[in-house]
Amino acid sequence: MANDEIPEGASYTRRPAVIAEIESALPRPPATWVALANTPESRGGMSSEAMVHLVRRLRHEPDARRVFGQLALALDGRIAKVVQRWARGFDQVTTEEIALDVGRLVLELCIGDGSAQAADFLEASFSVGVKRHTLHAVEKRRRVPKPHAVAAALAKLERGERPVEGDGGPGGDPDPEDDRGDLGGDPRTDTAHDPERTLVAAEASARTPEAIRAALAHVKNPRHREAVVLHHLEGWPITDQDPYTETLCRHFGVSDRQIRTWIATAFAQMRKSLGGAS
Amino acid sequence: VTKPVSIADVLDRILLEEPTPTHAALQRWIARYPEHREALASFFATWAVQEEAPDEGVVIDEARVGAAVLEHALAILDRPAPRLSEIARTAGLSDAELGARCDLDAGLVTLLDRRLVRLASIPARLLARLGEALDRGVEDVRRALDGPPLAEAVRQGGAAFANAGVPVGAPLPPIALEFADVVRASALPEATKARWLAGG
Repeated sequence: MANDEIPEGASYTRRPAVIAEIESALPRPPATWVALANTPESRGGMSSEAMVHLVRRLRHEPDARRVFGQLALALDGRIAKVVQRWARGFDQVTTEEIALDVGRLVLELCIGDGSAQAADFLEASFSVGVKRHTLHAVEKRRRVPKPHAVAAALAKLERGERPVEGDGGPGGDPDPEDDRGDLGGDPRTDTAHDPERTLVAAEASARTPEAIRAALAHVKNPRHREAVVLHHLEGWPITDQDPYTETLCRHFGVSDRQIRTWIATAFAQMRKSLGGAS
Repeated sequence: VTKPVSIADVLDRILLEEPTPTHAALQRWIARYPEHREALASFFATWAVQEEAPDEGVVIDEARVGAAVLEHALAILDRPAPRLSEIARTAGLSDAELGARCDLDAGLVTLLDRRLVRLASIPARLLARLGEALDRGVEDVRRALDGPPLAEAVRQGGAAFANAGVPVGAPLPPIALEFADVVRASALPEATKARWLAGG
């Protein structure tokens, strides 16, 4: 399937187990569905996909409004769990905003106020659908500067100082080390014999992905952390001669020199956090 | 005209097929959907960062969020069903484009939009085609076409009522026009008319 084109209006089908659940629930009074919906799926409760189907069925039945509300609340509880897994790194208020956005969107789809195909997808693979909506909500917030970061950048400008990379950025606090010179290295493409580059490249290659993951939380600037994740864990090159290759420079819209500085800063912070143990 | 594959469909497929957001996977999907390059790169980066993000133990007030979400859903259910032209606009289609996709002329789309055609007389195949064109379920299409004629039909739909023998200014009839009648009176090609009159 990986090389197939997605057909126009691709429809999604429910798993046989979900169909069986729905067929078993429908002959029973809707009020009996609520207890199953409030039981986690891992403990024999109703699957989220079946809940989506039943919510969609009840949406235009005014007499079943109470059950609709109970099922919708139970479904939103499942949505919140997915959101909390895929919207990390935010404070409580922002995480709740994301949960609210995703919950509203998913319920809108369930009650027919949106794409029928997207609603069908939720009946086929609920957690994947909610994960996608959550990542999209996270993505939107990463692109929008936080008010306090914008204010900090403006205050610097008013004082006649130059804002540094990360000021007003997506969740990134200004980092005084951001503007340092080129220290990093690209283990995939660099061949220069710069001692600093060689040091950073050697350090990175000596660290296992597990070690990098363990120390990532100590990188202060989210963009630095993202650069390390993309470069060292997911294999993104910093630069590439092929214009069709996605690179960190293109992604962040900054020079390779800047990216290497970010990565070097990140590794310095990770090294410090580990007390020089590495 | 082939409808382009939406980025939402591509992302759903990616999450089903790719276990992790590697650069190699990103390049594969960009090669398949170069028109979505920017969105794909941004999505993969977000996914990668979240994949590696530690659980910082942030706890949200699920009850409060749930109540707000439910309130929003009930507000949508309580509002009147959107009319056909509103759903079409949401789907990025003009009335003319919707008509072209469903073998209807502009006049027929207008009559349907203003709820002047009796719902039970509309062929099931047309409801299905409208749903497909609008990416909505048939039930949503039925709700859009159901109900009393819209108020502006009194002002703008005079001709349609006059053709149906309703005097201008008279109270709107509780049952509107028959689909077969409006097809016969339409500007559709004869072959298309014949198809609709033969049961759609």
